[in-house]
Amino acid sequence: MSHRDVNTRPVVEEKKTTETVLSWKKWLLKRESLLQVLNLLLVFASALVIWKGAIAVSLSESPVVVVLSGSMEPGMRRGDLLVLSNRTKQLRCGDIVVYKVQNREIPIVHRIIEVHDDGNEPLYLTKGDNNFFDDRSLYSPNTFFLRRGDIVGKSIFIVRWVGMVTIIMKEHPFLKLIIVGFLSLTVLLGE
Amino acid sequence: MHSTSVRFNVLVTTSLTYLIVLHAFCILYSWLKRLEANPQATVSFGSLVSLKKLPNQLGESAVVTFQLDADLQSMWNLNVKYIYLYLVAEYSSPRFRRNQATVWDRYVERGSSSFSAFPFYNSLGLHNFVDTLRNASMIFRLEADIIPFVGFVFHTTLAETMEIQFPLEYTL
Repeated sequence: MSHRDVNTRPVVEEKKTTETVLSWKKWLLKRESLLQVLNLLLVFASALVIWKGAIAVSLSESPVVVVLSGSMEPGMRRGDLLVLSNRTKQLRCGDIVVYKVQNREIPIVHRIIEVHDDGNEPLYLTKGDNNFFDDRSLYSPNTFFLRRGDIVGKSIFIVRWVGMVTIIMKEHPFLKLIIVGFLSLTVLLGE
Repeated sequence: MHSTSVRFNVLVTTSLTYLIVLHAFCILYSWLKRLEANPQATVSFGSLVSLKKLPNQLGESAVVTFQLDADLQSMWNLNVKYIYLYLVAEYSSPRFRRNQATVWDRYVERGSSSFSAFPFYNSLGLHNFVDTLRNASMIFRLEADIIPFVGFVFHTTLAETMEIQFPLEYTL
């Protein structure tokens, strides 16, 4: 072994150790980044599972709705959140229901004021508590009653004002992007 | 020591937790109070003022008088926002074995411990354009929906009348 070899060996070994540590750090950083992304995906997946679970339990295609108008005031105001259940087989006068009609995209929350049941397919007439007239003008043309299939669900639970967030985001769509982006960043960059 | 975002996160999470706990307490409290509630109500049928056929195939119309009295004191608690009272006429007809129609309704606000029918509300109309009201056996039922600030919407039947038989023919 030469004198030169003895002098250079510790420097070379130190350089190799530093490179090894750096490569391990890079690998760990990538792993942490991947974990953060997986965490974010887990949050979205959990939300989806909860929503689908609620649909399965309530038997309603939309188990949670927001009151968008004042037609049911004073009992229900704009921004109130309603939890629906479609498990009730026999609806009755007085039930607050959410229904959809063919020519309207947004479902309507009103109260049943008439029921006519011949044993096969009951017919329902609805009206908003704050409206003077019944809902016949809102139904599809030449339709004077709702059928069971038109009804999305019956309101069983109320939470006040929570739906205002949805209304604000609906009126200002860019806010939805900002809020979802902010929450995603929080999960990605969070400790 | 802690960043602004961490502090904000903790503040929001803690506030939401407290809010959810408060809501859960209100729901449990109102559910327990509902079990203790004992509202008193009577509804009685007065008379059939008229039963007639409407023009242009708009169906039939009946006007009846009734008297109702209700003491709702025991139904109120800290989580009750409104009580929605309504009178439902239930009858059978040749085409439909079960017909229900809301003939009168009223939102009762907080502070209204009792409710009595005023003469203005004693006459009410019952309309039918799918079938006939003639010869119908009718029951009037006073129902109530308890509308909470937060929680479940509860329904209860307060009182009902005896069975009333409508005449075979239209009245004049």
